[in-house]
Amino acid sequence: MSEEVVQCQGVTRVYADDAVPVHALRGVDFAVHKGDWVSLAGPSGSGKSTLLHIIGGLDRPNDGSVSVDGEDLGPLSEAQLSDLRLRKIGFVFQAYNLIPVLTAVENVEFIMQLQGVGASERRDRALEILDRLGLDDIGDRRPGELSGGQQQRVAVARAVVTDPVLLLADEPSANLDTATTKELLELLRNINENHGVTIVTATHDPMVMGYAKRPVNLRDGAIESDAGATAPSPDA
Amino acid sequence: MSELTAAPPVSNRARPAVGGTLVTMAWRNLWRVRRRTWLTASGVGFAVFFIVLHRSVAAGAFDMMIELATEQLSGHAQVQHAEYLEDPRIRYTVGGLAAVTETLTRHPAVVAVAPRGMGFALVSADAEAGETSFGAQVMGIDPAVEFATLGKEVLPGGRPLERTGEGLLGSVLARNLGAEVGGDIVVLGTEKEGGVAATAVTLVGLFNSGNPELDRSLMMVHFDDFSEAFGLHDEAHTIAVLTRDAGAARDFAAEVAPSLENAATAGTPRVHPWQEVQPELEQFVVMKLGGAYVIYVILVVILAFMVVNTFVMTVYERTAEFGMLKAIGMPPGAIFRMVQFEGLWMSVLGAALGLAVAAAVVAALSVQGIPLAAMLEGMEDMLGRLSLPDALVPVFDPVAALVATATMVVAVQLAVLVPAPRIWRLNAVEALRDEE
Repeated sequence: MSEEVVQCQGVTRVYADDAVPVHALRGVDFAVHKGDWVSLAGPSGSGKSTLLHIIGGLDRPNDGSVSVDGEDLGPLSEAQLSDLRLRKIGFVFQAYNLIPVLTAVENVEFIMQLQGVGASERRDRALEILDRLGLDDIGDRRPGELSGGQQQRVAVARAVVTDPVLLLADEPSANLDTATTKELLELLRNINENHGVTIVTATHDPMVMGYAKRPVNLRDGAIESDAGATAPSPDA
Repeated sequence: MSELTAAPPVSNRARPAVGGTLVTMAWRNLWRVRRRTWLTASGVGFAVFFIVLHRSVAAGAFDMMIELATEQLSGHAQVQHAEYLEDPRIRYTVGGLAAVTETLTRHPAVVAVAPRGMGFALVSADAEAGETSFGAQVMGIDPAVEFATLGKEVLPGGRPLERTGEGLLGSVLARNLGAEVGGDIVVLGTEKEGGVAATAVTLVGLFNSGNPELDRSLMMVHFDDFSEAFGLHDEAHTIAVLTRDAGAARDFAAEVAPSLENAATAGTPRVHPWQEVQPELEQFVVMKLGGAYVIYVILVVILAFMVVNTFVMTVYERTAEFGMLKAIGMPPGAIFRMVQFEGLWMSVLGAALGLAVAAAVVAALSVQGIPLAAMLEGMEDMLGRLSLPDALVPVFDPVAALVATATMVVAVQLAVLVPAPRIWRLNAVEALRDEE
């Protein structure tokens, strides 16, 4: 069996803020293997974004355990989770969420700066990744000067420039037209297949599900179908 | 896996030093909402401008007040017998007057040196209603070297003191005595060794100082007449000194004191700066300046609320952005530092604006001066009596500029602390959902 990058066991998440508790996840068992591209799909409220956020250490389950790259997230403090995200996880958001006052190349550099990469090295690597992703001609432009598709590709560049073990994308195509979505998905496929980056997306978009190697459907907080389901390893 | 860039793993690297980038980001962030930035920076600028201009005008006004008050009589420093200031007895004199005067005159900061004798006496005048007498302070001055403005401006019909045998009276004292210019004034007192001090002079003028105490009780005679009558020999009660800078009087006094101890032949000389001779004058200045601090504090507090409002709005508007930064692994402390830098830029920008305008206004006012006649309309008589200049010249106060800038920086940084807890408590998922 290939190496597990993500392992979830009995993950339960209940939002009790309102009068009636909302069960977003109901004891989900789920694993993602190295090199996988898992697409979490399902209707609104199915729990796909919640599961993505819990895998990314942005949210905590009420019950169950989650580990990323062999590291159990449960005991980690907020600062340790923040550090783990910085070191191991790349994020692509629905609304691109680039830093508006930085140019494309500076946005890509910034995350490396948080990691403590030296100035010349991070500039070289930022230019290199933009070049590889076909964005070399827009490096000096700020997000406001870029199209939605360009911004999302820069966001992907930012997410993968540090060679994360896992790339999490939450509705990455939600604000893109069909042609641009296709370009983005080709880019993700290239990153996944040629560079071995493990990807988990949460999406409504059938086109995204079509590109993913392993579509996983959720409904009412539970996995309804999983094209590549394997049982979690017992020693995890 | 084929890595996307040819880089070593990052897990063992030192943690980030992002200060430079945060400073840059903070500066650029300011200009995302230009109007608000300009408004807030203008608020900071106005506070700095107001404080610096007020202090500069006050500095000019108080400099002028000190000059006028010291030039009228006391001078910038006075050499006296060590006991005289506390206990002004006629026997407490400084001997070796010529040598002391010579020593003082050689000092580069000294503009004028004037010996004075001071004694209490009964002064009498032959009036139409008969002879009247009043107790008075008799001051012996040397018109050739005296710098005090008191006695140089006399009421119409008289003239200043010029030679021995002449005297001046305060206007109220003259009225009480029934004395008139041209009449004789008899002085009767006790001389230094306890004998009778007596002299008679011709009244040549009346002065109106604006100080009721002086006008009611002071008589001025020639120093030689005073010395002869009161038994002084190469000695004086006070040797008044006018220097180039009233503000440096304390330093001057401390510097010149040792050399005078050798020059004086009798009585331990003590050099008093004007602040010791006229402590009420210094207290007045300190009190006035202290009162202004209340206004400054109110201004700074109002400004701080304005800045709080700006940064609370900033943090609320950028919730999703901060959520994203937190999500990608930026520590909340670094996010907060970025906002702090924004506050720093805001205060520095505002302070620079305020200082530039204040410096320009002070420079412009320094050329023309602020016309005192317009400010003191209806009080022209006082202007003339006190020998006030036509215009008040403000003096740019660099200390005020520095303190005002530092105060603004601190106030803005404190204001930025108000929305800080929201940054720390920010839930990245909820923050990102705000934008969706």
